[in-house]
Amino acid sequence: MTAPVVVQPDIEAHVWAQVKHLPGVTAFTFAATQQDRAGWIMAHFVQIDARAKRRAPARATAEQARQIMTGLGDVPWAEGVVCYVQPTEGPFWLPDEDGQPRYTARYEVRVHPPRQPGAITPAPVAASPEGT
Amino acid sequence: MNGGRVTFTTTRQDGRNARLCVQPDIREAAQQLASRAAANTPRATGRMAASWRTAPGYSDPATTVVTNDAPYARFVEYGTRRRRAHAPLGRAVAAGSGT
Repeated sequence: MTAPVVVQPDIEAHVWAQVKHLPGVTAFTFAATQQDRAGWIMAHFVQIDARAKRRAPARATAEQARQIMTGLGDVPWAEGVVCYVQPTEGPFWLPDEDGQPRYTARYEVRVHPPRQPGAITPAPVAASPEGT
Repeated sequence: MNGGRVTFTTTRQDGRNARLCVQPDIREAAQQLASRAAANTPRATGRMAASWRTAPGYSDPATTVVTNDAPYARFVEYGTRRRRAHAPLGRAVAAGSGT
C-alpha cells in the first residue's frame, strides 16, 4: 500500500514575507506537528520577537506583528491555505540578556496545501432503492 | 425520579465539582509535559533540565502550572539576540497537540 506524499507549503517564508517590513522583527518556527492521519493539515508554532532601542516602540511593533499574524488567513497565498491562527503566548515583555528591549509572542498556525482542481473525487451517487 | 421527572442535586453550586473531577488528569498531563520539557532541555550542567516542576495553579483545582526556576530558563526557552531558542517547553506543548 502506498500513500500520496503531501507537499506542505513553507509557512515560515510566508510569515516572514508578511512581517519583514517591521523594523527589529525576527520570526522563526520552533516546532511543527501533524494534525491528521493523512498529513494534510500541519500545525506550525511560530515565535515572533520585536526589538527596538526603547520599550514602547518594541511593544508597538509587537502589536503590529500580532495584527498581521491574526489576519494571516485573509492574505492570499498561492502555495497553501492558512486555516487557523491562534496566539499561544504574549506579546509579553522579555528583554534580551543584555537588557535590550524585546517583546515576544508565539502563535500556532495551521496550514494545508492548496486544493488542486480534480484533487477531490466526488463520492458516487448511491443507487436508488426504488430502482432495484 | 418522580413521575418521569429527574431531579439532580449538586452539593456545590459554584461549579467546582467538575473542576475537582478533572484535577488528577490535569495534574498528570502537566507532569507529562514537564517530563517532555526536561527531555527537550539542552544539558551543560543539567541544572535547568532538573528544575522543571509542577504546582497547583492559582485557586482553580483544574489548573496546574509548569515552572522552571533556573535563572536563565527564559533565554533557553525563547532565545536571545545571539542565541537561538531551544524552546523545550514550547516543543513539549506542540508535541502534545499532534496526532
